[in-house]
Amino acid sequence: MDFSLSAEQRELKAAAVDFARRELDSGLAEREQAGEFSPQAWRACAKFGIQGLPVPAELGGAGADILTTVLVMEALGYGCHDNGLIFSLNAQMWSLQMPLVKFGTPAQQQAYLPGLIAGDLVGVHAMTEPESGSDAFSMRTRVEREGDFYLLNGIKLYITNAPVADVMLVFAAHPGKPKMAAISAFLVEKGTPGFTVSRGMDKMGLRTSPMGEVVLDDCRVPAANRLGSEGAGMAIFNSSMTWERSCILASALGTMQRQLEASVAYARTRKQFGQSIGKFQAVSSKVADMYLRLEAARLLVYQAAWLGQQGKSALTEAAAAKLFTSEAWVASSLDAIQVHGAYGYMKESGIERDLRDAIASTIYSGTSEIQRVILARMLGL
Amino acid sequence: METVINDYISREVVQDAALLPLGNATSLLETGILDSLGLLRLVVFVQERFGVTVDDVDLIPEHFESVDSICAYLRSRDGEGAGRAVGHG
Repeated sequence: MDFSLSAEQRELKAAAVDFARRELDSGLAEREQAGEFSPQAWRACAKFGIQGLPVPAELGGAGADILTTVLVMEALGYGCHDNGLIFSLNAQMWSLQMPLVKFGTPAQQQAYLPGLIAGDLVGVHAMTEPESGSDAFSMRTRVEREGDFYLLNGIKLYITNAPVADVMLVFAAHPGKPKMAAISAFLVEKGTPGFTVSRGMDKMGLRTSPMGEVVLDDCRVPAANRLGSEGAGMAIFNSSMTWERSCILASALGTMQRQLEASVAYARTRKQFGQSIGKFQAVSSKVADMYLRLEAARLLVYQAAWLGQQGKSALTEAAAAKLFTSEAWVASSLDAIQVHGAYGYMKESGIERDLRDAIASTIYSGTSEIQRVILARMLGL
Repeated sequence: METVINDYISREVVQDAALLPLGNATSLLETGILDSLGLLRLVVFVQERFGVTVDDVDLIPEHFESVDSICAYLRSRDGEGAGRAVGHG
Protein backbone atom coordinates (compact mmCIF):
# COMPACT_ATOMS: atom_id res chain seq x y z
CA MET A 1 0.00 0.00 0.00
CA ASP A 2 1.35 3.38 -1.00
CA PHE A 3 -0.58 6.33 0.36
CA SER A 4 1.74 9.06 -0.89
CA LEU A 5 -0.33 11.70 -2.65
CA SER A 6 0.18 12.70 -6.25
CA ALA A 7 0.60 16.39 -7.09
CA GLU A 8 -2.92 16.33 -8.53
CA GLN A 9 -4.37 14.87 -5.33
CA ARG A 10 -2.56 17.47 -3.21
CA GLU A 11 -3.91 20.27 -5.40
CA LEU A 12 -7.45 18.89 -5.27
CA LYS A 13 -7.27 18.54 -1.49
CA ALA A 14 -6.04 22.11 -1.07
CA ALA A 15 -8.75 23.38 -3.42
CA ALA A 16 -11.42 21.52 -1.42
CA VAL A 17 -10.19 23.05 1.86
CA ASP A 18 -10.23 26.50 0.31
CA PHE A 19 -13.71 25.96 -1.15
CA ALA A 20 -15.09 24.64 2.15
CA ARG A 21 -13.71 27.58 4.12
CA ARG A 22 -15.07 30.12 1.64
CA GLU A 23 -18.52 28.75 0.93
CA LEU A 24 -19.89 26.27 3.44
CA ASP A 25 -19.84 27.71 6.95
CA SER A 26 -21.91 30.84 6.44
CA GLY A 27 -24.52 31.25 9.20
CA LEU A 28 -23.66 27.84 10.62
CA ALA A 29 -24.27 28.68 14.29
CA GLU A 30 -27.78 29.95 13.56
CA ARG A 31 -28.61 27.13 11.15
CA GLU A 32 -27.33 24.57 13.63
CA GLN A 33 -29.41 26.05 16.40
CA ALA A 34 -32.52 26.04 14.20
CA GLY A 35 -31.79 22.64 12.65
CA GLU A 36 -31.75 24.02 9.11
CA PHE A 37 -30.40 22.32 6.02
CA SER A 38 -28.62 24.65 3.58
CA PRO A 39 -29.73 24.14 -0.06
CA GLN A 40 -27.19 26.82 -1.05
CA ALA A 41 -24.30 24.89 0.47
CA TRP A 42 -25.64 21.68 -1.13
CA ARG A 43 -25.63 23.27 -4.57
CA ALA A 44 -22.21 24.83 -3.94
CA CYS A 45 -20.85 21.36 -3.17
CA ALA A 46 -22.35 20.04 -6.39
CA LYS A 47 -20.81 22.92 -8.34
CA PHE A 48 -17.42 22.12 -6.84
CA GLY A 49 -18.00 18.50 -7.83
CA ILE A 50 -18.39 16.75 -4.48
CA GLN A 51 -21.51 14.67 -5.22
CA GLY A 52 -20.18 13.50 -8.56
CA LEU A 53 -16.69 12.58 -7.37
CA PRO A 54 -17.02 8.78 -7.21
CA VAL A 55 -19.46 8.47 -10.11
CA PRO A 56 -17.84 7.18 -13.32
CA ALA A 57 -17.25 9.80 -16.00
CA GLU A 58 -19.48 7.97 -18.48
CA LEU A 59 -22.36 8.48 -16.06
CA GLY A 60 -21.67 12.18 -15.66
CA GLY A 61 -19.40 12.12 -12.62
CA ALA A 62 -15.74 12.95 -12.08
CA GLY A 63 -14.72 9.29 -12.08
CA ALA A 64 -12.36 9.86 -9.16
CA ASP A 65 -10.83 6.77 -7.60
CA ILE A 66 -11.93 5.89 -4.06
CA LEU A 67 -8.77 7.16 -2.37
CA THR A 68 -9.03 10.50 -4.14
CA THR A 69 -12.68 10.74 -3.10
CA VAL A 70 -11.70 9.98 0.49
CA LEU A 71 -9.00 12.67 0.36
CA VAL A 72 -11.48 15.28 -0.84
CA MET A 73 -14.00 14.33 1.86
CA GLU A 74 -11.18 14.59 4.41
CA ALA A 75 -10.42 18.07 3.09
CA LEU A 76 -14.09 18.97 3.38
CA GLY A 77 -14.09 17.88 7.03
CA TYR A 78 -11.02 20.01 7.65
CA GLY A 79 -12.27 23.17 5.98
CA CYS A 80 -15.98 22.95 6.74
CA HIS A 81 -17.37 23.00 10.28
CA ASP A 82 -20.84 21.89 9.15
CA ASN A 83 -20.61 18.17 9.87
CA GLY A 84 -24.36 17.83 9.25
CA LEU A 85 -24.00 19.01 5.67
CA ILE A 86 -21.14 16.59 5.10
CA PHE A 87 -23.19 13.77 6.63
CA SER A 88 -26.07 14.49 4.25
CA LEU A 89 -23.65 14.45 1.31
CA ASN A 90 -22.22 11.13 2.44
CA ALA A 91 -25.69 9.66 2.88
CA GLN A 92 -26.61 10.47 -0.70
CA MET A 93 -23.29 9.48 -2.24
CA TRP A 94 -22.92 6.07 -0.62
CA SER A 95 -26.48 4.91 -0.02
CA LEU A 96 -28.11 6.06 -3.25
CA GLN A 97 -25.63 7.14 -5.91
CA MET A 98 -23.28 4.16 -5.67
CA PRO A 99 -26.13 1.60 -5.65
CA LEU A 100 -27.43 3.35 -8.78
CA VAL A 101 -23.99 3.12 -10.36
CA LYS A 102 -23.58 -0.51 -9.40
CA PHE A 103 -27.10 -1.93 -9.78
CA GLY A 104 -29.05 0.61 -11.85
CA THR A 105 -30.30 0.17 -15.38
CA PRO A 106 -29.14 2.78 -17.90
CA ALA A 107 -32.63 4.33 -17.71
CA GLN A 108 -32.50 4.55 -13.90
CA GLN A 109 -29.00 6.01 -13.98
CA GLN A 110 -30.03 8.57 -16.56
CA ALA A 111 -33.18 9.47 -14.63
CA TYR A 112 -31.48 10.28 -11.34
CA LEU A 113 -27.69 10.55 -11.45
CA PRO A 114 -27.45 13.82 -13.43
CA GLY A 115 -29.77 15.61 -10.98
CA LEU A 116 -28.06 14.14 -7.92
CA ILE A 117 -24.63 15.11 -9.23
CA ALA A 118 -25.76 18.62 -10.19
CA GLY A 119 -27.25 19.25 -6.75
CA ASP A 120 -30.75 19.65 -8.20
CA LEU A 121 -31.92 16.51 -6.41
CA VAL A 122 -31.40 15.25 -2.90
CA GLY A 123 -31.55 11.54 -2.22
CA VAL A 124 -30.86 8.81 0.29
CA HIS A 125 -31.91 5.28 1.15
CA ALA A 126 -34.59 4.22 3.63
CA MET A 127 -33.80 1.04 5.53
CA THR A 128 -34.25 1.54 9.29
CA GLU A 129 -37.67 0.93 10.86
CA PRO A 130 -39.19 1.30 14.32
CA GLU A 131 -38.66 -2.44 14.98
CA SER A 132 -35.62 -3.03 12.79
CA GLY A 133 -32.27 -1.28 13.19
CA SER A 134 -29.15 -3.39 13.56
CA ASP A 135 -31.22 -6.46 12.57
CA ALA A 136 -31.92 -4.78 9.25
CA PHE A 137 -33.29 -7.76 7.36
CA SER A 138 -36.09 -8.32 9.86
CA MET A 139 -37.90 -5.33 8.38
CA ARG A 140 -41.67 -5.16 8.39
CA THR A 141 -42.18 -2.97 5.34
CA ARG A 142 -43.90 -5.19 2.81
CA VAL A 143 -43.97 -5.19 -0.96
CA GLU A 144 -46.42 -6.95 -3.25
CA ARG A 145 -46.48 -7.04 -7.01
CA GLU A 146 -49.59 -5.69 -8.74
CA GLY A 147 -49.23 -5.88 -12.52
CA ASP A 148 -46.65 -3.36 -13.66
CA PHE A 149 -46.44 -1.85 -10.17
CA TYR A 150 -45.34 -2.71 -6.68
CA LEU A 151 -47.31 -1.74 -3.59
CA LEU A 152 -45.20 -0.75 -0.58
CA ASN A 153 -46.57 -0.61 2.96
CA GLY A 154 -44.65 0.22 6.12
CA ILE A 155 -42.83 2.86 8.13
CA LYS A 156 -39.20 3.91 7.84
CA LEU A 157 -37.65 5.77 10.74
CA TYR A 158 -34.54 7.93 11.33
CA ILE A 159 -34.16 8.54 7.60
CA THR A 160 -31.42 11.06 6.84
CA ASN A 161 -32.35 13.73 4.28
CA ALA A 162 -35.98 12.53 4.26
CA PRO A 163 -37.60 15.98 4.72
CA VAL A 164 -35.71 17.37 1.70
CA ALA A 165 -35.35 14.22 -0.38
CA ASP A 166 -36.54 14.09 -3.98
CA VAL A 167 -35.81 10.40 -4.43
CA MET A 168 -35.32 7.60 -1.97
CA LEU A 169 -34.12 4.02 -2.28
CA VAL A 170 -36.68 2.14 -0.17
CA PHE A 171 -36.06 -1.43 1.00
CA ALA A 172 -39.04 -3.74 1.50
CA ALA A 173 -39.64 -7.47 2.05
CA HIS A 174 -41.66 -9.88 -0.07
CA PRO A 175 -43.93 -11.85 2.30
CA GLY A 176 -43.35 -15.57 2.59
CA LYS A 177 -39.76 -15.60 1.37
CA PRO A 178 -36.68 -16.48 3.47
CA LYS A 179 -35.32 -13.34 5.15
CA MET A 180 -32.11 -13.28 3.11
CA ALA A 181 -33.95 -13.56 -0.19
CA ALA A 182 -36.95 -11.44 0.65
CA ILE A 183 -35.63 -7.91 0.29
CA SER A 184 -35.96 -5.76 -2.81
CA ALA A 185 -35.13 -2.09 -3.29
CA PHE A 186 -37.21 0.56 -5.05
CA LEU A 187 -36.53 4.08 -6.27
CA VAL A 188 -39.41 6.12 -4.88
CA GLU A 189 -39.86 9.75 -5.87
CA LYS A 190 -41.29 12.51 -3.74
CA GLY A 191 -44.94 12.94 -4.70
CA THR A 192 -45.55 9.26 -5.38
CA PRO A 193 -49.08 8.48 -4.13
CA GLY A 194 -48.89 6.80 -0.73
CA PHE A 195 -45.41 8.19 0.07
CA THR A 196 -45.19 10.81 2.81
CA VAL A 197 -42.55 12.18 5.12
CA SER A 198 -44.73 12.28 8.19
CA ARG A 199 -42.49 14.25 10.53
CA GLY A 200 -39.06 15.73 10.90
CA MET A 201 -36.94 14.65 13.85
CA ASP A 202 -34.95 16.81 16.26
CA LYS A 203 -31.45 15.59 17.08
CA MET A 204 -28.59 16.09 19.51
CA GLY A 205 -26.04 16.66 16.73
CA LEU A 206 -25.76 16.76 12.95
CA ARG A 207 -28.60 19.22 13.26
CA THR A 208 -28.15 20.73 9.79
CA SER A 209 -28.76 17.30 8.29
CA PRO A 210 -32.53 16.83 8.21
CA MET A 211 -33.99 13.54 9.39
CA GLY A 212 -37.51 12.21 9.23
CA GLU A 213 -40.02 9.39 9.31
CA VAL A 214 -41.36 7.98 6.05
CA VAL A 215 -44.79 6.40 5.76
CA LEU A 216 -45.58 4.07 2.86
CA ASP A 217 -49.33 3.55 2.62
CA ASP A 218 -50.16 1.52 -0.49
CA CYS A 219 -47.33 3.42 -2.13
CA ARG A 220 -47.58 2.50 -5.82
CA VAL A 221 -44.18 2.26 -7.50
CA PRO A 222 -43.66 1.37 -11.18
CA ALA A 223 -41.92 -2.00 -11.64
CA ALA A 224 -39.30 -0.15 -13.70
CA ASN A 225 -38.23 1.57 -10.46
CA ARG A 226 -37.05 -1.66 -8.82
CA LEU A 227 -33.27 -1.47 -8.42
CA GLY A 228 -31.66 -4.80 -9.28
CA SER A 229 -33.57 -8.05 -9.41
CA GLU A 230 -36.27 -9.15 -6.96
CA GLY A 231 -34.47 -10.30 -3.84
CA ALA A 232 -31.32 -8.29 -4.61
CA GLY A 233 -31.98 -5.95 -1.68
CA MET A 234 -29.47 -7.64 0.57
CA ALA A 235 -26.74 -7.42 -2.07
CA ILE A 236 -27.52 -3.75 -2.64
CA PHE A 237 -27.55 -2.96 1.06
CA ASN A 238 -24.34 -4.86 1.79
CA SER A 239 -22.60 -3.17 -1.12
CA SER A 240 -23.64 0.32 -0.07
CA MET A 241 -22.76 -0.36 3.57
CA THR A 242 -19.22 -1.39 2.65
CA TRP A 243 -18.83 1.80 0.62
CA GLU A 244 -20.35 3.86 3.38
CA ARG A 245 -18.33 2.35 6.20
CA SER A 246 -15.13 2.78 4.19
CA CYS A 247 -15.70 6.41 3.27
CA ILE A 248 -18.26 8.10 5.53
CA LEU A 249 -15.74 9.02 8.20
CA ALA A 250 -13.08 10.38 5.87
CA SER A 251 -14.39 13.82 6.75
CA ALA A 252 -13.87 13.03 10.44
CA LEU A 253 -10.16 12.70 9.70
CA GLY A 254 -10.20 16.31 8.57
CA THR A 255 -12.20 17.38 11.59
CA MET A 256 -9.79 15.61 13.96
CA GLN A 257 -6.85 17.24 12.16
CA ARG A 258 -8.48 20.63 12.71
CA GLN A 259 -9.12 19.82 16.38
CA LEU A 260 -5.51 18.71 16.81
CA GLU A 261 -4.09 21.86 15.25
CA ALA A 262 -6.42 24.08 17.28
CA SER A 263 -5.50 22.25 20.48
CA VAL A 264 -1.76 22.56 19.83
CA ALA A 265 -2.14 26.28 19.09
CA TYR A 266 -4.25 26.85 22.20
CA ALA A 267 -1.94 24.80 24.45
CA ARG A 268 1.04 26.86 23.22
CA THR A 269 -0.58 30.25 23.81
CA ARG A 270 -2.76 29.72 26.87
CA LYS A 271 -0.68 30.38 29.98
CA GLN A 272 -1.35 29.24 33.55
CA PHE A 273 1.03 29.14 36.51
CA GLY A 274 3.50 31.18 34.46
CA GLN A 275 3.85 28.89 31.47
CA SER A 276 2.01 27.53 28.46
CA ILE A 277 -0.48 24.85 29.48
CA GLY A 278 1.11 22.61 26.82
CA LYS A 279 4.17 22.38 29.08
CA PHE A 280 2.08 20.44 31.58
CA GLN A 281 2.24 16.76 30.70
CA ALA A 282 -1.42 16.26 31.68
CA VAL A 283 -2.28 18.53 28.75
CA SER A 284 0.44 17.54 26.28
CA SER A 285 -0.43 13.85 26.72
CA LYS A 286 -3.97 14.55 25.53
CA VAL A 287 -2.58 16.23 22.41
CA ALA A 288 -0.25 13.29 21.80
CA ASP A 289 -3.19 10.91 22.10
CA MET A 290 -5.20 13.02 19.63
CA TYR A 291 -2.35 12.71 17.13
CA LEU A 292 -2.02 8.96 17.69
CA ARG A 293 -5.73 8.28 17.20
CA LEU A 294 -5.88 10.48 14.11
CA GLU A 295 -2.97 8.80 12.36
CA ALA A 296 -4.25 5.29 13.19
CA ALA A 297 -7.73 6.20 11.96
CA ARG A 298 -6.29 7.71 8.78
CA LEU A 299 -4.39 4.52 7.99
CA LEU A 300 -7.49 2.38 8.55
CA VAL A 301 -9.67 4.59 6.34
CA TYR A 302 -7.04 4.78 3.59
CA GLN A 303 -6.55 1.01 3.77
CA ALA A 304 -10.28 0.31 3.34
CA ALA A 305 -10.40 2.77 0.42
CA TRP A 306 -7.29 1.24 -1.15
CA LEU A 307 -8.76 -2.26 -0.93
CA GLY A 308 -11.99 -1.07 -2.52
CA GLN A 309 -9.96 0.53 -5.27
CA GLN A 310 -8.22 -2.79 -5.94
CA GLY A 311 -11.65 -4.46 -6.21
CA LYS A 312 -10.91 -6.51 -3.12
CA SER A 313 -13.29 -7.40 -0.32
CA ALA A 314 -13.04 -4.78 2.42
CA LEU A 315 -15.82 -5.82 4.77
CA THR A 316 -13.55 -6.42 7.75
CA GLU A 317 -11.34 -3.42 7.06
CA ALA A 318 -14.33 -1.15 6.49
CA ALA A 319 -15.86 -2.22 9.81
CA ALA A 320 -12.53 -1.60 11.55
CA ALA A 321 -12.14 1.81 9.91
CA LYS A 322 -15.68 2.86 10.79
CA LEU A 323 -15.48 1.59 14.37
CA PHE A 324 -12.07 3.04 15.18
CA THR A 325 -12.56 6.38 13.47
CA SER A 326 -15.97 7.06 15.01
CA GLU A 327 -14.69 6.33 18.51
CA ALA A 328 -11.49 8.27 17.84
CA TRP A 329 -13.59 11.26 16.75
CA VAL A 330 -15.56 11.21 20.00
CA ALA A 331 -12.35 10.87 22.04
CA SER A 332 -10.62 13.62 20.03
CA SER A 333 -13.57 15.97 20.56
CA LEU A 334 -13.55 15.30 24.31
CA ASP A 335 -9.79 15.89 24.49
CA ALA A 336 -10.07 19.08 22.44
CA ILE A 337 -12.75 20.41 24.78
CA GLN A 338 -10.63 19.51 27.81
CA VAL A 339 -7.52 21.20 26.39
CA HIS A 340 -9.56 24.34 25.67
CA GLY A 341 -11.14 24.27 29.15
CA ALA A 342 -14.20 26.46 29.70
CA TYR A 343 -13.83 27.97 26.22
CA GLY A 344 -14.10 24.52 24.66
CA TYR A 345 -17.39 23.97 26.46
CA MET A 346 -18.85 27.18 25.00
CA LYS A 347 -20.90 27.03 21.83
CA GLU A 348 -18.78 29.78 20.24
CA SER A 349 -15.75 27.47 20.23
CA GLY A 350 -17.55 25.04 17.89
CA ILE A 351 -15.84 22.11 19.58
CA GLU A 352 -18.89 21.12 21.59
CA ARG A 353 -20.78 20.89 18.27
CA ASP A 354 -18.08 18.56 16.94
CA LEU A 355 -18.60 16.35 19.98
CA ARG A 356 -22.37 16.19 19.50
CA ASP A 357 -21.84 15.40 15.81
CA ALA A 358 -19.17 12.81 16.57
CA ILE A 359 -21.38 10.81 18.92
CA ALA A 360 -23.76 10.08 16.05
CA SER A 361 -20.94 8.43 14.15
CA THR A 362 -20.83 5.61 16.70
CA ILE A 363 -24.47 4.86 15.84
CA TYR A 364 -25.12 5.45 12.13
CA SER A 365 -24.05 2.99 9.43
CA GLY A 366 -24.02 0.27 12.08
CA THR A 367 -23.34 0.94 15.74
CA SER A 368 -19.93 0.39 17.30
CA GLU A 369 -21.38 -2.74 18.87
CA ILE A 370 -22.42 -4.11 15.48
CA GLN A 371 -19.00 -3.29 13.98
CA ARG A 372 -17.43 -5.37 16.75
CA VAL A 373 -19.86 -8.21 15.98
CA ILE A 374 -18.83 -8.02 12.31
CA LEU A 375 -15.14 -8.08 13.22
CA ALA A 376 -15.60 -11.03 15.57
CA ARG A 377 -17.63 -13.00 13.01
CA MET A 378 -15.12 -12.29 10.25
CA LEU A 379 -12.40 -13.55 12.59
CA GLY A 380 -14.27 -16.83 12.88
CA LEU A 381 -16.10 -16.41 16.19
CA MET B 1 -15.62 -27.97 -5.35
CA GLU B 2 -18.87 -29.17 -3.75
CA THR B 3 -16.93 -30.99 -1.04
CA VAL B 4 -14.73 -27.99 -0.25
CA ILE B 5 -17.69 -25.61 0.05
CA ASN B 6 -19.86 -28.07 1.93
CA ASP B 7 -17.02 -28.69 4.40
CA TYR B 8 -16.49 -24.97 4.92
CA ILE B 9 -20.17 -24.22 5.50
CA SER B 10 -20.59 -27.24 7.78
CA ARG B 11 -17.54 -26.25 9.81
CA GLU B 12 -17.72 -22.46 9.87
CA VAL B 13 -21.27 -21.37 9.18
CA VAL B 14 -23.77 -23.94 10.46
CA GLN B 15 -24.63 -23.13 14.05
CA ASP B 16 -27.29 -25.79 14.65
CA ALA B 17 -25.73 -29.26 14.65
CA ALA B 18 -29.16 -30.75 13.91
CA LEU B 19 -28.74 -29.43 10.34
CA LEU B 20 -25.70 -31.64 9.76
CA PRO B 21 -24.77 -33.47 7.63
CA LEU B 22 -25.48 -30.77 5.09
CA GLY B 23 -26.87 -31.85 1.75
CA ASN B 24 -25.56 -30.08 -1.34
CA ALA B 25 -29.13 -29.28 -2.40
CA THR B 26 -30.26 -28.12 1.05
CA SER B 27 -31.52 -24.55 1.02
CA LEU B 28 -29.09 -22.39 2.97
CA LEU B 29 -31.64 -19.59 3.02
CA GLU B 30 -34.84 -21.38 4.06
CA THR B 31 -33.03 -23.27 6.82
CA GLY B 32 -31.51 -20.00 8.05
CA ILE B 33 -28.00 -21.45 7.81
CA LEU B 34 -26.75 -18.37 5.97
CA ASP B 35 -27.28 -14.98 7.52
CA SER B 36 -25.85 -11.83 5.97
CA LEU B 37 -22.51 -12.05 7.78
CA GLY B 38 -22.28 -15.78 7.15
CA LEU B 39 -22.74 -15.06 3.47
CA LEU B 40 -20.02 -12.42 3.45
CA ARG B 41 -17.62 -14.75 5.26
CA LEU B 42 -18.42 -17.43 2.70
CA VAL B 43 -17.70 -14.96 -0.10
CA VAL B 44 -14.30 -14.12 1.37
CA PHE B 45 -13.54 -17.85 1.64
CA VAL B 46 -14.67 -18.57 -1.92
CA GLN B 47 -12.65 -15.66 -3.30
CA GLU B 48 -9.49 -16.74 -1.56
CA ARG B 49 -9.90 -20.43 -2.18
CA PHE B 50 -10.98 -20.37 -5.81
CA GLY B 51 -9.21 -17.21 -6.90
CA VAL B 52 -12.32 -15.50 -8.20
CA THR B 53 -13.73 -12.07 -7.49
CA VAL B 54 -17.39 -12.12 -6.49
CA ASP B 55 -18.90 -8.84 -7.52
CA ASP B 56 -21.49 -7.17 -5.29
CA VAL B 57 -24.12 -7.52 -8.00
CA ASP B 58 -23.70 -11.31 -7.90
CA LEU B 59 -24.59 -11.63 -4.21
CA ILE B 60 -28.17 -12.52 -5.07
CA PRO B 61 -30.19 -15.37 -3.52
CA GLU B 62 -30.15 -17.66 -6.55
CA HIS B 63 -26.34 -17.83 -6.46
CA PHE B 64 -26.20 -18.75 -2.77
CA GLU B 65 -29.32 -20.85 -2.33
CA SER B 66 -27.40 -24.10 -1.78
CA VAL B 67 -23.96 -25.65 -2.15
CA ASP B 68 -25.03 -26.77 -5.60
CA SER B 69 -26.07 -23.28 -6.68
CA ILE B 70 -22.85 -21.75 -5.31
CA CYS B 71 -20.83 -24.23 -7.37
CA ALA B 72 -22.99 -23.60 -10.45
CA TYR B 73 -22.37 -19.88 -10.06
CA LEU B 74 -18.63 -20.35 -9.64
CA ARG B 75 -18.47 -22.62 -12.67
CA SER B 76 -20.32 -19.99 -14.66
CA ARG B 77 -17.38 -17.72 -13.85
CA ASP B 78 -15.05 -20.14 -15.63
CA GLY B 79 -12.15 -18.35 -17.22
CA GLU B 80 -11.64 -16.05 -14.29
CA GLY B 81 -9.94 -18.65 -12.18
CA ALA B 82 -13.13 -20.07 -10.74
CA GLY B 83 -13.28 -23.79 -10.26
CA ARG B 84 -9.60 -24.16 -9.53
CA ALA B 85 -8.84 -24.66 -5.91
CA VAL B 86 -6.17 -22.36 -4.53
CA GLY B 87 -4.15 -23.26 -1.46
CA HIS B 88 -4.37 -26.39 0.61
CA GLY B 89 -6.88 -29.18 0.98
